[in-house]
Amino acid sequence: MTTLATAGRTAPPREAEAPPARPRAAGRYLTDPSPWRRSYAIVPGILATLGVVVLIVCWVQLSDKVIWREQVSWLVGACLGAGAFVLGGVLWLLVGLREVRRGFRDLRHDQERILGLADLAPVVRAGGPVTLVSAPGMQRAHRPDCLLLRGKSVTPLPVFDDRPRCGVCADA
Amino acid sequence: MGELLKYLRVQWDRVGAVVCAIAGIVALIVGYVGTSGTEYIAEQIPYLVSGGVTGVMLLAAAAVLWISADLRDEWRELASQGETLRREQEERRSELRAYIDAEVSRRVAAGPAPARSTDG
Repeated sequence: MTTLATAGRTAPPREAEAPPARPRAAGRYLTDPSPWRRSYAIVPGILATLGVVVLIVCWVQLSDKVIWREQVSWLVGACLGAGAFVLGGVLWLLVGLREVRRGFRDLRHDQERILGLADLAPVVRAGGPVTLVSAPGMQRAHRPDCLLLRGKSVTPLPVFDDRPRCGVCADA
Repeated sequence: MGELLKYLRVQWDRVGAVVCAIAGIVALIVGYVGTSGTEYIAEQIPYLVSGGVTGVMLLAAAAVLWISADLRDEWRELASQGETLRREQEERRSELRAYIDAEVSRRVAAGPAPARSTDG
């Protein structure tokens, strides 16, 4: 059982219960317009450009040859160029997928962090689910089904209320 | 016309994907026609490279561009959800501040609580 403060004493809410003054730095998904930064385009761009250049050079070279055996090496070079081009595209997509996955992870963390306040929100909004209650003249916090509350009109308590728990229903 | 231009500008990656796909198919057809027009392998190889390999590269570029567009959509959806979350956070923060201020004022105004207790 956790006692927050002595009953009957007028104490302001603890510092820790107040919301933080400034929100944590937002995830990149909120600030950047695209999953890709400029720096991410360097390697895929180099590979794609290299692939196109190699393909063109190989095509020009093998077009001049009339013997099949002399063309084979340039044909292989053209295929390698195409491979470099495709590899650049695959890298580009992998980086994008990674950034989107990180974005979802950041969003999930933000949700968990912000939904921490959801525990306090029902207290603020009338009619929401509240764990502990009390009644006029009572100095302790009770569960809604506590026997000591029978016949009394109860009111919900905020989660940071500093009154001690009822000894009857605390361990129930 | 203006709407079409705006759509093309916003969806430039999908437009690029469609253009690359069409160009790739055209390159493959041209390569096929050129290759089938001669019976000498040495004359077929340049068509194989300029038509076949280039066509495959263009089709790969189309696929990359289209998937990139899908990833950008996913990213925009993330940003939208994050913005909603931030608004909700600000709303709850202000509600909580108002409640705490009211609670502090109420307790200060009420003074020390009575010593008599009727429970536990």
